[in-house]
This record gives sequence, C-alpha cells and structure tokens, in this order.
Amino acid sequence: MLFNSLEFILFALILTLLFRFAKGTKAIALLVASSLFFYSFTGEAWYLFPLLTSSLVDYVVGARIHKAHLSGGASKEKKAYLAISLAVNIGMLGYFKYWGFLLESWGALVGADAASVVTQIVLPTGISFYTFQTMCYSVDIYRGRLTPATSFLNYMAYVSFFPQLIAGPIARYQDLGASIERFRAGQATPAWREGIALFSIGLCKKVLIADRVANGINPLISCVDEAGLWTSWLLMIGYSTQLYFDFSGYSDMALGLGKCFGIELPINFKSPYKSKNPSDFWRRWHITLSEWIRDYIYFPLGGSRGGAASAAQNLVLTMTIGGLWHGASWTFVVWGLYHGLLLALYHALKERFDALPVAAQRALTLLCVFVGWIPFRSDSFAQAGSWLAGLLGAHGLSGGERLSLPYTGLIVASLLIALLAPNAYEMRFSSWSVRRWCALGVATAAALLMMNYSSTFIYYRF
Amino acid sequence: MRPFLVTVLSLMSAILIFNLHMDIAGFGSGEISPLATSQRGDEWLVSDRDYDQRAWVRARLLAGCPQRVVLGSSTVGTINPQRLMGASDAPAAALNLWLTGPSVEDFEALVQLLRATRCAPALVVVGVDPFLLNDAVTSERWQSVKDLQRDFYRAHDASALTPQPLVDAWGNVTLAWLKFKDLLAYQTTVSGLERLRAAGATKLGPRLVPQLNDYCARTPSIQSVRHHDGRFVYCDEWLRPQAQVDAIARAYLERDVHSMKKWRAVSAERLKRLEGALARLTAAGSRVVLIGPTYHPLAHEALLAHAPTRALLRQLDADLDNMSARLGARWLTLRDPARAGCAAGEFFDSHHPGPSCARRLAEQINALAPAP
Repeated sequence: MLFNSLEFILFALILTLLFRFAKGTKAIALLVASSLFFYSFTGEAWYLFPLLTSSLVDYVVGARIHKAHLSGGASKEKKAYLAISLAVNIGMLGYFKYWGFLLESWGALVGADAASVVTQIVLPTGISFYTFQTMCYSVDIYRGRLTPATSFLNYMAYVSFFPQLIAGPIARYQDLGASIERFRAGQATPAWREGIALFSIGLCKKVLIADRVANGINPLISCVDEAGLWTSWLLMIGYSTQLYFDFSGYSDMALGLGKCFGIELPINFKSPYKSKNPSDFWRRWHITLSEWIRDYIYFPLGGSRGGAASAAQNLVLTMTIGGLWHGASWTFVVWGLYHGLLLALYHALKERFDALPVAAQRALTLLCVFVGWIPFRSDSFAQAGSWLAGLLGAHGLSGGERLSLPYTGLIVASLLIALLAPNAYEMRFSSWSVRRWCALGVATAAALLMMNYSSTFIYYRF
Repeated sequence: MRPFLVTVLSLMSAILIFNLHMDIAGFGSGEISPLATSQRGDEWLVSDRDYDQRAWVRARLLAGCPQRVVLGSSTVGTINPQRLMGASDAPAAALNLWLTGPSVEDFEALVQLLRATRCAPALVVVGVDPFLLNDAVTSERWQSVKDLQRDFYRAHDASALTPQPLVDAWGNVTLAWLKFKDLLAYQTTVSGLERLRAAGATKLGPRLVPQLNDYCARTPSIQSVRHHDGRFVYCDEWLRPQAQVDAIARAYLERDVHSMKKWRAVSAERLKRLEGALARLTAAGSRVVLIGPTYHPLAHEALLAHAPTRALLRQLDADLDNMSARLGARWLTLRDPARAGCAAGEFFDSHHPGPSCARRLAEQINALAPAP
C-alpha cells in the first residue's frame, strides 16, 4: 500500500472514522495495529517479523541498559546489551541488504555468477529506516540522553508509526515520545488543515512532477550511452528534480499525516537545491539521515577533534557509509565517497569558497550535487561513465534520442520550482485565499486521477 | 480548507459520472456472447471501448470444439491459429483464445470449460509469459470466470476450495474496487474524452464489421480487434514510429512493465497449479506445447542485462522444461527474438510481436508439433 494510491486514501478515511471512537490506550493500540496492518500491505506479511524482532530487541535492551544505569551497574554490562542491539540490527541489515551484494562482488572477483542467490534474498521495505530508529533508541539510552518509553505500546507507536515507517523521516524517540504521550492522553490536537494541505502538496509533487519527469527520462537513461551533450545535461537535471520531488513529496505526505494525528514528525528537507555549499546541502537534504550519521557515526569516529586531516578522513568515511546505507551497490559507495570528498574539500577551501559571490556558490554547489546523482542513479559504472562522458560532449552535441519538448519544459519548470518556491511546511495555510485552496484542489484532483500510473517512491527500496 | 474539499470532491464526482456514462471499460460485456457466436469467418469484432475477452472465449468454446488452440495473453494474440493447421482443416477448427491479463486461474477455468464441453483439442499451444509466474504480479481479471475455476477444483481437488461465500464476497468487493479505480483513472478519462470528440456522446459498443478501414480510421487509440479465429489484429493507424517502439522496448524493464523489475521468485504455487491444469489436457489426449513468448530484441537484452531477472528466467526455463517432461508436453522458449527469427521492426512494442514475427512463431511450433 503506497501513500499515492486510492487504497491508502481509503485506509486513511477508515482510520479517521475509527479514531473517533478510540481514546487513551485503545487509541495508541489502534495506532500500532493500523501501522502494522499498513506495513504488512506494503509487501509481504513476513516483513513484520524483522520489524518486530528489531523493535522487541531494542525495547528490552533499552530497558536493561536503563536499569543498569539506575543500579549503577558495570559499564561492561551496558556495553554487552548495546552490542546485542547492534548485532541484531546490523546483522539483519547485513543479511537482507548486503549479503547478496557481498556474494555478487565476490562472484565478480572470482568469475562466478551469484545472481540466483541474490534474487532469493528479499529486502523488507523500510528496514534501513526502522533499524536506524531502534538502534538510536538503545544508543541514546546507553549514552544517558534518553529514558526508555513508558510502555511497549508507546515505543511500538514510535517505531511503527505508519507515516514514517517506510521511508522516514528517521525520528528519534526524543522527537516523537512527547507527541505520542500526548496522543495517548487524548491531548494531541490534530492539525487537519495543515495536515491535509501538506499531504496534498506532497501527493502533487510525487504524482504530477516526479512521476511525470521519470516517464520522460527513464527510457533515455537506459540508453544514455547514445545521448548527446544536450540530452545528457537534461537527463541529469531531470533526475535531480525527480529525486527531489519524489522524496520531498513523500516527506511532505508523512509530515501531513503526522499532523492529522497531532504528532509532529521532524522536517527532512529545507530547499536543498538552494544550498550555498556542500555542508549546507547536507543540512537541507534528508536532514534526519544526515543528523543520524553525524551523531552515531561521525562523532564516535572522532568528528573534528583530531584536527583537520582527521576530520576530513572521518567525513569521507562517514559519507561513504552513508552512501552504502542507500543501497547495496558500488555506485552508492562511490556516490557517498564523492560527497565525503566534496565536504572535505569544502572545509579545506572554506574561506576561499565562501568569498565567492552567493550566486556562484549556489551554482557550483548545485552542479556538484547534480553530477553526484549520476552514479546514484546509474545501474553500473559503465552507465555512469558514459553519462558523464555525454555531459562533456563525448557522444556529440545532439546524438541519440532526444527528450520531447513537453518533458524538457516540465524539467525546466520543476527545477525552477525547486530553486524558487518556498518549502511546503513553511506555508501559512491559515492565511491562504479561496483561490489558492481551489488551485490546490484542482492539482490534487489531477494527482488523484493519475495515481494509477504512479510508481513507488524511490526511497522505498532503500 | 472548505474550497479545497469542495473543489476536489466536485471534480472527482464529475469525472466519475462522465466515465460511468462513457463506459470506456465496457463493464456491460453481456452483448459479447451473441456476437462471438454469430461472428462469420470474414467478420471482425471491433469495439470503441474495452470489453471482457473472457466472455468471447467462453462463448466460442461453448459453440464448438476447436482442434488447435492457442492459450495465453496478448503476447501470443497475433499468432494465426489457422497457420497451425494442415491446409485441409476447416478454419473453425482453430482458435486463438488469448486473454487480457491472464493468470493461472484463467487456465484452470478454460481447462474446465473444455472438459465440461467434452472437447479435447489435438494441439494446445500455451504462451507462458514470465509474468504469469512472477510472484510480484497479481491480476483479478479471472474473477469473471470464477464459476468455471471453482468447478475445476470441485472436479479435481475439492479440498483446495475455500468456503465459497467468503471467497465470492471478497471477489465481488475486489472487482467493485477495481472498477471504481478504473472509473477514476486518467487513461479512462482521456479515452472517454477522445471518444466524445470522435463519436459524440454516442456509445459505440462491440459490433461485427466486414472490413476494418472505417473503424481503423476513426479509432484514435489501440483497441482489441478480434478476428473470427480469435487472433488479435492491429490497425496500421496505431503503429508507432520505429524509434518510439525501440524506446518503449528499451525501457521495458526500467519501467517495471509486468513487474519484471520487482520479480523476486518463480511462484512454485502457481507453477504447481499450472501443471495441474495442463495435466488434465494431456490426460484427455491433447498434445501440449508450452512457449515462452517473444520479446523485442531491446527488451530481451534489457532483461538479460539485469542479473536477478536473468537468473529468474533461467530458473523459469528449467522449471518449465521439467514440468513439460513430466506432462509429456514440449517446452519451446522463443523469448529470444534471435531464436524466434524476429527483428526489431516486427514488433508493436516491447512484447507484442507483429504478424510477420507471429508467422515465424507458428512455423517453429509446427516444426515441433506437426499436424497429426
């Protein structure tokens, strides 16, 4: 079940009705049950098993670590509990997400075909997101920054809350715990207007922009080795806008759904294509992941404490791991490495870069980010290499098949929206005119009509 | 907020009412049966809206027992079943029974229909598309022949039947939901508007025509034109430029057509049920030839370039080969266009071969299973 489906709209309507009759513990139990129901319909029912395993392990581990804290227990004991959490979560991620990749890489090295093994391992939807949530719950308790959830139901509501279960935002218990407590106490105030508006804007971003751009560029990306200079650039810009509107559309929908329950989810995007430098970009793009890898990978590695060289090394390592988090493929590793190097380079040349005119800083950052999406999108290094060569005119100026004029117009328009329009969550819906509401209504109706031809969110597969 | 809700609800209601009126999906397929049985050898069944192909297939099988039949999806729809015959055979003895979006349940229903009419064709060619055994693909279209499918299990394995009221109720809910979704779909609305522009508000349902020229000139988008022998016919007006066909074919996997990119496993359960259905045919004396329908060269190349799909296709071939050996049937994979002898210019899109390619497929089948 996808947010961009009539089934989900029906599910949300039924849920709205049910919550009218549920209060207190019943309401939180219903929230958990409906989240698990939703999750089981995003793929296979057995996906619930790893979700429940990860949740249960970290709930118990968190409680044990806290108990050890209170009783002044040995640090060794707490470490052992934390190790269990890390082993289970990283173990599950390793098996479901990376085992096939390792076998395939090994097979490529020794000349064996591991494809049949790879196909048998199915990646449960959202596993990269919820394992990060459950792990940081235990780590934060271990670090003494968090007290455990007051009940298992509250904790499960945090892990499985359906608007953010599949593709984030990666929330921490500190972000959601208070909202969940208020929800359970019947004190949460649903912000219907903001919620529905945000959901609708997200739906329009996904269905009317991201999916339409995808329809135009995907066939051409599959033969990018023939694309001329003009088409290669258009495809790069097209994919950059598709990815942004796909993921930020999802995040807007998640935020909007959260608001309908009176639960505030953390913001995940702040107009990333308006960034002035690579560091700024990562404070605006997939914010909850950036913060997660900063707090749980970069800082434990030493952060910037060991001087500039050590900071650069830690940045590169952290971003490479972040790249690998996105998918089990060497192209993601390269993408992460590329961003790590960009960040390190920026910090090394910070003074000179920041002295450039703001427009030049933005243009350079945008160019670097867009070029980075090429390995991110490519199925292989050969494809990425060919695409990059196309950007430099290696296949001629206008070789291969060309993007039609309507698609070119759509890509340009979507880029302008990404560069100029405000963030959806910044909009003040209370002061919107009737005309604006009607315009959003027309766009939403168009999106609903086209939902049958919509695809899954790109980040669903991570 | 209220203007937003009013706008969305009124627009969606207007679209729903318009699409209900135009009935592009052709939910009322009741008129198909008499048309199917009265269709003469020189007539074409055309329609300006969709209709249930299963109704046509059912009516024709009830009307007579063909000696050679083609079962499968539209990917084998262009095979002329008469080419599978010896020259002396009467045309009525050959039928192409292709269906839109078939699933294993459809095969069970058709086998049951053949059994109920005491019909055992000499040759049954079965197009086994990978999507038929792709665990990521589900189709509910078979629900319109669910009575036959249930009879199949009553006759062969009553223990496999779930309590009927539950199944029927769920099936009805699913069908109603699918129809509702279809009425709120962009493509339905666009087709409705095109039809409105071409023919006014007049509803042009299925009808028999002696020649196709007028129909093809007036019909803006692809519809199913069915020849008397069941084969699918494509108007020249609908042919796409070759570059467009190639682009569609190249993007076949990328666009996840037939959920080929989502494909994770060859469904053992469906394979078993397919074998169960085909075993009834071989037991009744029919010679069964299973074929893997042919892809456009670029689509085939894309499938093989994707390691998981390549492995799954290899497994599918092995499974179907083993199954054929158990059944005493033949398995002929023609997925590779080079093997089938078809070039890129002989396809309508990524997976629908045109008549010249279909002719070669028929020749290959004949070579494998010569006329008795």
